[in-house]
Amino acid sequence: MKNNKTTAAKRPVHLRHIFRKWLLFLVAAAYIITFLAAFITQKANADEEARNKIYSQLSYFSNQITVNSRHSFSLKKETGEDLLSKAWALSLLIKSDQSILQSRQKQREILKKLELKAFYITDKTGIIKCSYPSEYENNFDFHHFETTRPYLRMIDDPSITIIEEPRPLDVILTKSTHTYMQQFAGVGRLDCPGIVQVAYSDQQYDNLLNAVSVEHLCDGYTFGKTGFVILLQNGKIMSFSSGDLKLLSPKAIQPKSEKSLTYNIIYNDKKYLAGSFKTGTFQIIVAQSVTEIYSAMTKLMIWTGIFFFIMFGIVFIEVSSLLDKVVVKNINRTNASLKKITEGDLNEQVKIESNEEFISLSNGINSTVETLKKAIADAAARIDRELEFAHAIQISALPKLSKQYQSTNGFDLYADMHPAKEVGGDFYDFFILSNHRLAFVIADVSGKGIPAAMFMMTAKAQIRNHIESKPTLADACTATNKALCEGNDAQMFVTVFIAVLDTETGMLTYVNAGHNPPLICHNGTYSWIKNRSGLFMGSFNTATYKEFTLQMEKGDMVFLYTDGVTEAMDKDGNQYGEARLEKHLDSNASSSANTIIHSVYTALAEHAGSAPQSDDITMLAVQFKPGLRDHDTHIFPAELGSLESIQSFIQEPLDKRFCPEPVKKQIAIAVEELYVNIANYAYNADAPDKTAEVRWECSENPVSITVRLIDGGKPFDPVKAADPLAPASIEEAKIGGLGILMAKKNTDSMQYERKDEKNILTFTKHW
Amino acid sequence: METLEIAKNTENGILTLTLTGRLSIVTSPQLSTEIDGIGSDIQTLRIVMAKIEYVSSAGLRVLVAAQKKMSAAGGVLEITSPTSETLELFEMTGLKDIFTIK
Repeated sequence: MKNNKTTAAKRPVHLRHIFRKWLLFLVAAAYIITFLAAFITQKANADEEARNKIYSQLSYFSNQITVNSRHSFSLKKETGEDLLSKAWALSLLIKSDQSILQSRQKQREILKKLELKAFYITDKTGIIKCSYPSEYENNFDFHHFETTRPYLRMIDDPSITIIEEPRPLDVILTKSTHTYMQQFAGVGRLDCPGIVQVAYSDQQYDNLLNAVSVEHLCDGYTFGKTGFVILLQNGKIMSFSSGDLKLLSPKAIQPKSEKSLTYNIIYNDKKYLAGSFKTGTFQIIVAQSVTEIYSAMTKLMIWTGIFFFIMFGIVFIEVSSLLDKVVVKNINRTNASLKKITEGDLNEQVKIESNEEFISLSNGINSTVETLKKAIADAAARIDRELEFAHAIQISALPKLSKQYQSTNGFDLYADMHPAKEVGGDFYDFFILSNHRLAFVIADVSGKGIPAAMFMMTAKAQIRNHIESKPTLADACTATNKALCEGNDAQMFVTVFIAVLDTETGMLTYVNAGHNPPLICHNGTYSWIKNRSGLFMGSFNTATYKEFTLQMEKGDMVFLYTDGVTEAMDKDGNQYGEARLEKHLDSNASSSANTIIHSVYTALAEHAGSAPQSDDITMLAVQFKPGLRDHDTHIFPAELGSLESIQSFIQEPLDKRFCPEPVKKQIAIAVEELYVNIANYAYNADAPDKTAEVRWECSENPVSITVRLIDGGKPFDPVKAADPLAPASIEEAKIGGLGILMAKKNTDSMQYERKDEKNILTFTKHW
Repeated sequence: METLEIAKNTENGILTLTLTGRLSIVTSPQLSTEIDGIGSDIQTLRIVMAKIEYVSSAGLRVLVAAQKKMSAAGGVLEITSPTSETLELFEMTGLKDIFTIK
């Protein structure tokens, strides 16, 4: 419970949580590292692959450029030469047949046979004089056009020939304009100065040219899903495989440096990886969108991530459950066992045999507990013995409640003690003093165990001694205190209430030395006796005590108790208290000493309920009941001088019961004879304790007295002793044995008993 | 109280001891002393026991001793007027026939 504050401040962390936390951390770290490694590898692969693709595309296109250029050149050269020879042929034909210039029929035939698209013939002015088709005749001057001007030199030098590069020519076909490739060639007129120009154009040729043209090399070319190819010539975009040219700026697509083979460009707000290659006047740029480059990798990484996540998740769960199983569970089991052990169950055993370490730990704990158990058992046995011993002392210190103290002799006394488990040091005592006085004591010694028990014995003995020997009760208490202070190294003390009751007059003399105030019942009501005589005993050797007196009336009851009564607690710690005690006594005011003590004890037990008894519960009650004494006992020295005292001791009850004189004498004779016998013969001269106990008991119906003489002398049975024969003469008359005979004859019955090394002689006499 | 009074009267060689009180172990030495002091001139010892209210064996012992002493001297012991209780005692002890009781 004391740890509450610290636990509130910082809760201890469970081992399982620490394990899990770190394991999770490690697994997550491993996951991230693995994932990153995979990502980096994959990215490098993807980059490499993308670069390779770009390189291969570049290489492909550079090849194509070379191949196409060559093809194109061959094609052009072949068709050009072919066309030139056709021009020569036409020039020859015209030279040989001038009518061709006028005959459309012939012109058509020539055109068809020479597979020409058109021909144009000028004179020396450079103006077309004859053409097929005819729309240019007389309205087309070769001087007027850049493309035709070079032909003019042929008028002067017929050896000059021209083969033009094929070029697109817009032709209006029906409604739409279509661009066809047309090639022109020309030679001088053989008949006269002039120009013969022929044009060749054909769908097939057009297609063929297109196929081998470099300019359109990448038109419609697809590179992956999003990739594109750009062909530049002399820094000008010639061809763009797909997309909108307007979105491209020729500058932005150029590599930033010569060092890296690939570089990034932005097209349509998307990032592309590009590669560039220059061959001759051409430049090829191949680009692929980064998204596409990494799309496969992204997919792979997503699946890899999921796969790793599941794999590491399984590892985490497996390892944490393994840890749980191997360590945490076993530690928890060990802890559970330890908890049971610390809570007092020493029979608990730790049994974990899953691995070497826990077997060793279990064995260690078990053997420690075994050792502890043995030590506790030993200690408990020792304490038990001590307690038992102390208890035995305490119980043995209490006087026996014989019949003598109950409902007889002018008082009714009852006392009871319920010791607590550990000896509390309570005691009570009562004894008869001379002159019909009864002394009774209740006391509570501080401390517990054997020392308290020993102190109690001393206190009890000192009180008895001093009450007998000191003239007043106060003196006796002062002397007792002084004696108890001497050598009281253990610093113990005792609270005592001592009272002496004159059982004939009812005068109660008492001293209260620091004890709980007793109660007295008068006329059916209990009240407290609050007078204080002085301090508790055993601590201050100069303490003195004042005695008080109180006149008890017939039927009055004094009730003494120790604090075990008023401080008896219920399970909530509420004390029984003085108020409850007084109330309980009041409602049982007519009870006898015995009954009231038992009823108070029952009330205490009800109050306490399940709460354990923590202190001794001791009570003593004395009721004053004056009346005829029906018995008395006294111890006399076993000598003849005591006889008179003994006779008056025996005569007193006889007088009170109006015993007839002759009977009294007979009794006196019996007492004398038997007592003289004891005084003269029972003890050897050197015997240490020569006493005789005389006790009488009277009964009312039939009226009788029983006298008992007890001595500790040599065994002698007077009852068995033979009666002397009547002497025949005075010479024979012997006195020995006569006394016993007289005792027998003067009584109604006589018994002898030898018990506890004592001669017990009892006789009874009726009247 | 254990008391014994002894009144002595000597007349014509007759010693009369008149006893009053109790003749017990406590008092009998008194009587014993008186008897020891009896001279040879006394022929008759008369012990008047009318006023003896109590006799124990110690008393009897003295009486027997007196009887023996008187007999040895050729004298006589007379025990006169014992109470019925004393007489009963003599009878009980068989001394009634030994003593001269008047």
